[in-house]
Amino acid sequence: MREAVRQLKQRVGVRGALVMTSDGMVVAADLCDGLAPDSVAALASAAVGQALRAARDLRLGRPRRVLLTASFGRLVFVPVDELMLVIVTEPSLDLELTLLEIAGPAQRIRELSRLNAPL
Amino acid sequence: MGFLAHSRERIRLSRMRRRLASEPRPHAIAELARAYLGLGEAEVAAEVLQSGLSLFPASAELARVRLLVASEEKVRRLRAAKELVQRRPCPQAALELADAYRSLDRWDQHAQVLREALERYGENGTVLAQLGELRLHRFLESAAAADALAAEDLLRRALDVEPEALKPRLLLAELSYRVGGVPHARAQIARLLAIAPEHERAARLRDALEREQPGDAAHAEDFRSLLAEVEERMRLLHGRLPWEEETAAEDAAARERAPFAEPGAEAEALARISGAERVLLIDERGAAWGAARDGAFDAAVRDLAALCQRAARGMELGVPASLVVEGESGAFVLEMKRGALAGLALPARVDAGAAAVAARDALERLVRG
Repeated sequence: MREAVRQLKQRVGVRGALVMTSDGMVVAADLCDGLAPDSVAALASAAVGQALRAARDLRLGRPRRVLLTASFGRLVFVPVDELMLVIVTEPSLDLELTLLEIAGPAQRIRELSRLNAPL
Repeated sequence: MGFLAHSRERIRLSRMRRRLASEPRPHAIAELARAYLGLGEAEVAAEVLQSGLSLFPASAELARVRLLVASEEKVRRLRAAKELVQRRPCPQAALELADAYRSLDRWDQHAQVLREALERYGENGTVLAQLGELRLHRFLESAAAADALAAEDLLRRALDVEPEALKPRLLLAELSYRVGGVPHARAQIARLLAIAPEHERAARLRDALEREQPGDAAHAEDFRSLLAEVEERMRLLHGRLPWEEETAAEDAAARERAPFAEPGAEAEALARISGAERVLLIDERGAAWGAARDGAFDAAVRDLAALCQRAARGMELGVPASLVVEGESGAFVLEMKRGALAGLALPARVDAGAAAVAARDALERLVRG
């Protein structure tokens, strides 16, 4: 899992990536300097929890992803089965390309989480 | 993914593919293509999509995934070109990298790579011609004499390096024609057709030039004087240059456009334009207008805006601009600007990106108003 996250971080424009449980526990992380995994996970957990609650209230169906774009960066949350993949990218990156860059590693993390899941 | 996991996934996808052959469904086909893409097998993904689109040609989801597959191919090409430039730097590698950026519509990087190649490798006909073409396009948008002069300089330099090259000569002829330098354009086209008599675009330009009246032509010897002559003649004829007229007309239209006259009507219009089921506009003082609003939706818009502020500040991402929550049955879009908010609830069939653009525009007008 750590290797998958490390590879994700190496993608163009990706500042950091983190896999966490829904309650904010860090499973694997590779973030740029200045971002502490535990703080990011705590914030991300609160943010994504609220966004997913809103998705449920608004009847948006099973969540696919949450994107937050700000002046200095973009946050992408992708649910991976029971886990959550959080990616911090440059704000200027083309969104479709960013999602493409993420698709492969996200699939790999999904595979790994299934392999590690208790039987 | 390890070899074993990769093989297992391939077997799973092959089974899924066989099942879909007997019972095809557009969403499942799109998922299958995405999965192949995740495995790095873009060609198989393209194949799956091709057969899916032959069965469901109107499927927006399949069309969207096909776009992703095409983009993936372009991204791969970009990666390969970057590696080539690092491994074996040469003008051809730089041109390949520039072309890869161009295929992705990354025009700034395209121009940057070309400029660096020019500095690093000196005068290269293809690099100069491509830079000249870029500058010509910019001239067509800006109508600024400086762009026309720069384009002409680059294209002439390209021809100095490769006098028999067709593209820079054709572009030079088109540039001359567009600024009214008909004799200049004719001379370039005659030379080009002498080299390549079958060149269709050149032949079409020659025909257009032949239809020009002799009195309309500008005759100055060099391009700078030609531009000055054209400008002077146009001023005498019309009092104002055509592109100045266009700019003046655009300015007048912008002044005439009412800045967000009635927010309620704007919210209704935004719902209509974006295809949103619900819309909420909130100005920086907290006043709200909407279409098909309800309490839960209003609360979600306000709560999520506060959440974006907290998350962006906590992660030092600056000022939040937008939030998109995508689900299988729809999406929620929130645009934020200077304390004003636009929230939209979208059904699954609506493109969230296009809706976000419409919301941004409405918000811009709300803030300006």
